[in-house]
Amino acid sequence: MIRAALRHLAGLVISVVIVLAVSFALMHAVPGGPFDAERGLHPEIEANLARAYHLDWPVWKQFLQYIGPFNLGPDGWLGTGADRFGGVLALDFGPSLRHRDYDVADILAASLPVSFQLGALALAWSVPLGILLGTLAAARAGTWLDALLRVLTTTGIVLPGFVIASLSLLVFAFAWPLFPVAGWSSLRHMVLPAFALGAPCATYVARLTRSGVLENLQLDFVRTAKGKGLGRGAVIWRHALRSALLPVVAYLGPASAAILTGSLVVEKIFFLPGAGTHFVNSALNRDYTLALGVTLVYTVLVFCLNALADLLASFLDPRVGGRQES
Amino acid sequence: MTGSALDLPGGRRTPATAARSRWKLTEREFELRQSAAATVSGENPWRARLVQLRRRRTAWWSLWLLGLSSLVCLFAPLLPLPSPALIELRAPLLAPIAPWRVFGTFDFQPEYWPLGWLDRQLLELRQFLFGTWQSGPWLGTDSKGRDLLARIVFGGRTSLAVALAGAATSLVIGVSYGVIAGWFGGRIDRWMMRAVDVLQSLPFVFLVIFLLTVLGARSSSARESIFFVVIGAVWWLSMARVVRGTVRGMRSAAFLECAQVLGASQASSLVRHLVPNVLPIVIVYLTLTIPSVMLFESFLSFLGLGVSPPRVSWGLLALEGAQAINPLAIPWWLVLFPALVMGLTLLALTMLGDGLRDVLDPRSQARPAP
Amino acid sequence: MTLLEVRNLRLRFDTKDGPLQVLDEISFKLEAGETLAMVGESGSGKSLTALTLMGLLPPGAIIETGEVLLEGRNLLTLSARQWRSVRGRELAMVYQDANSALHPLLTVGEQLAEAILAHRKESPSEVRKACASALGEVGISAPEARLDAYPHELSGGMRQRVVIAMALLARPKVLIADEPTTAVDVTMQAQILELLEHLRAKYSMAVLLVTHDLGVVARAAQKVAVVYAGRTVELATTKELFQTPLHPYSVGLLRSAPSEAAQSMASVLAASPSQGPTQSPSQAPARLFSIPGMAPSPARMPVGCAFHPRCPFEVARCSRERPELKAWRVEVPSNMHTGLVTATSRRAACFEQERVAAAAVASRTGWHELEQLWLAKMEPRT
Repeated sequence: MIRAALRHLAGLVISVVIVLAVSFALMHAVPGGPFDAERGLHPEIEANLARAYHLDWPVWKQFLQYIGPFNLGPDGWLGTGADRFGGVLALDFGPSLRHRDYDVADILAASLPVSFQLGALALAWSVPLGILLGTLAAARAGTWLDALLRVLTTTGIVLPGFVIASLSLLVFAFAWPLFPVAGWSSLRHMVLPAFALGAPCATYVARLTRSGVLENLQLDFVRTAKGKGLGRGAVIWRHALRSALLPVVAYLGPASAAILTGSLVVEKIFFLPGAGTHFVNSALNRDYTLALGVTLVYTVLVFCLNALADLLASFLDPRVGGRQES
Repeated sequence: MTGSALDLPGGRRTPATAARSRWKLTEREFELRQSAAATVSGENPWRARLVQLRRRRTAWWSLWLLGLSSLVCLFAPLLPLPSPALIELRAPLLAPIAPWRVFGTFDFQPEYWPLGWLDRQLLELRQFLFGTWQSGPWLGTDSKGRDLLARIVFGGRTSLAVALAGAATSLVIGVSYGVIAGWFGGRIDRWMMRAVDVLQSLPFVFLVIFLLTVLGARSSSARESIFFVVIGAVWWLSMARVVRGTVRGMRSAAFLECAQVLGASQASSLVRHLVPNVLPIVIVYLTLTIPSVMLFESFLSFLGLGVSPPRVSWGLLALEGAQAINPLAIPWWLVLFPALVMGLTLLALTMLGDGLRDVLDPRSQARPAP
Repeated sequence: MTLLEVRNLRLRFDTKDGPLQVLDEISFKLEAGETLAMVGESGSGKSLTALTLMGLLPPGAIIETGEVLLEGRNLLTLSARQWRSVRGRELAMVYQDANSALHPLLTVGEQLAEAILAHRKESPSEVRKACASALGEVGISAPEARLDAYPHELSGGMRQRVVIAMALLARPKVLIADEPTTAVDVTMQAQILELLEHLRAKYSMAVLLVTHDLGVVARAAQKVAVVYAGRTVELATTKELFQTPLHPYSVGLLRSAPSEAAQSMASVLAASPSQGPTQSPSQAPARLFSIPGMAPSPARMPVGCAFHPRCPFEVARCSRERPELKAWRVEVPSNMHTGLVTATSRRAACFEQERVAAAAVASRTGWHELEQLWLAKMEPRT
């Protein structure tokens, strides 16, 4: 268990370093500063800007400052007082290049809760429902219910998330105005985005569960369970489903990554003030610092979620870390 | 994996399975021997695989559907479609009109984005063949009066091109990475695979977008060319893994030792045996890579980070559809038709990939047939 | 009293390429308190018979004819609900591979408890006590502690004991043991058999022992049903079978048993009151014999007697008619006449029982001749 945690941590550190180094290198390799768009600035203003963003420092120093977690003072040594901490490791991603009056950290603090709520809601409905539907489909394999669910899951897997989002917006907000079109203030606002975001995940989980349960129903331990005189319900829900859940749990890591990705489009379609919207806009506006901030936060988040899913899987499977492998 | 406690061998029973059970072979062993026999007797093993694929109906129909739509996309400028770029503000948001009501008009104006040489030739041929005749607004028009059918066809062109380019990039990187790791083995292999592990756990979409932000700063055309490469570079990981596994398996296989005993050099035996062994799996993973690249392209285009107007791709069409709906007007066709086309294409690709995997990938043989 | 009787059980699978007749007249009787061994090659339908008895047939299996009578009640006509009350409580099964028969993610205690709770309501503490005592009974030390172990934490022999304990928990009348010793190592085999024997005596259960190992039969069973190609070809007591097999397949089976089994057999024969030149272990054939040819596949069953293509005693009618499973009516060769007391229960499906019996008796001294006969028969084919 500890080994696994350490491995995850090492992976996290390595990738954060890679992301940081590459992003820093890229930002500096690209000809022209970040203020390209505003040509014709007075040279003095440009110099001021450069100084404010430490563009006049040598590259190594800029990199150190950029990583943090300590501020480098004007004399090149560690700063003191309130300004002591800075750089990415101190969660200071610098000022946003486009929203002049805000720091990236401020924007993240305002927008991440929205994204997290949305993502948590989407996971919360999609995974249980997917498991339920998948098990039902396996229990009734070959019936109309199974066929219907198969059509649904195939659709959910094949259609891109943004298409599902647009279609659900078209149907449930415009053609049949059950839910508001946009905004983020009440639970009613959250229904459609959470649905659109979770739908692909639900269908995938349903598929995974169905095939797992069906496969397990062929196994010897299910025969043993039937041989004890257990009813069909107990056999499916207690025996077949239990081991079919392992791949589902293992999928939770990738699933949450997919949900984060999906949140980009869903937030865009429903005009939600989440981190995804800011990320896309920052990419469009070339707001490097904001884009990098979101990327870093999400990198760390994906790692943590993966580690969590691993932990959960090992918790559910007593064989992991045990003496014998079977 | 059949798992049932049956004493009897196998479910289906053909002369072949009877022969198999006589020798107590697993299905895979049997197929291997069969294909070996086919090779010895000079019969092409690919012919047998083609027959197997044809037996899988959905995969076979998907192949046809995809072939047909690729042809349509490839020869799009030749077809008598309206211009996909011509803005006609007098006729915005026309609802679809069935072909039997308005079959076509004589309004064609050749307005496109800068076309390549071949496309220009195709366009000239089209004007020679059809004059100014063009099909009617069978699928309606968008908010700028552009014909949706034409935009879907031309959008498919872009999506297909991106998918193929991305798949090709992933092919080159993945196969060479996998072959190197698998062939040298040992510490090199371990480190290379560890790198793949780390890369796989990165949230790639965000990194790619960030990369596009930084790299594509200069111009949209630069962005587009980077885009093709970057997209492919993301999807080589699983390809590398699979190829590496196959090569490792091959290295230890007896026939390579035989070849070396017979005096073939390592390199030449590698090359000779590599292609027939790795090719099937590469094909399978290529088929599975194409839809994900396609999806990713449309995803980025949807976010406004991919293909930029006046060019068009399916993701862009979906974006325009989503943007066009508002409480006053619900141009459902702008959402529905691109979604339908995209869904069908991705479905066909997935089905084809599944079918190919059943036929070509030895490891999938363990799974019971659906 | 006959506890369990299987009469003319026929079972087939319908496949795309036509029906597969996998069971073709399986018949045997199991008396209360006795152990009957069902012997045959793998693929002969033994396990499938066991699953039929448990009502655990895989989907697609169609029972054509036959009856499975448990105390006079035909199990094949039960509804799913009725089956549930029979399984575990009246019939319980010990599975071949204890490793895969136990759920990997549930503790031993949880899995044992289900066997009780499926049939009656009890308080958790009582259930736990019952489970622990069941584990103790099958010879697992520190049973309380093992209740919270997962199957993978136990050794192979211990897992097999857990499976046996699980089968015993609801006090079944019939215990079906499907190859209980194949998956454990040799020293464990003897212990498991002893345990089964002990438990059978203690609870006066009837045991149906499915096996391909004649050594196991010799050690554990009082009666034997020999099964070939989905058909009962011989019914006898263990002693009778080892003395005078009446079906050529039984002869071949006995001859092909490895020497360790031959020793067990020899001991069975030595313990019998019959005289006659019993074969001593030293006379066991040095080289392992195996019946020439292949067991037929259900798809291509030979016409007439299914064994005739491999049979050295074949006569013209064997390839036309099928011999019924009928009582032995011939005179027993004089040198072993004493075994006739139970002769009425002996049945074999062979036209040439007399010749087979005579040859089998003769072969105890001169196995060579029989083997030559066999080889001569197979010569032109191979």
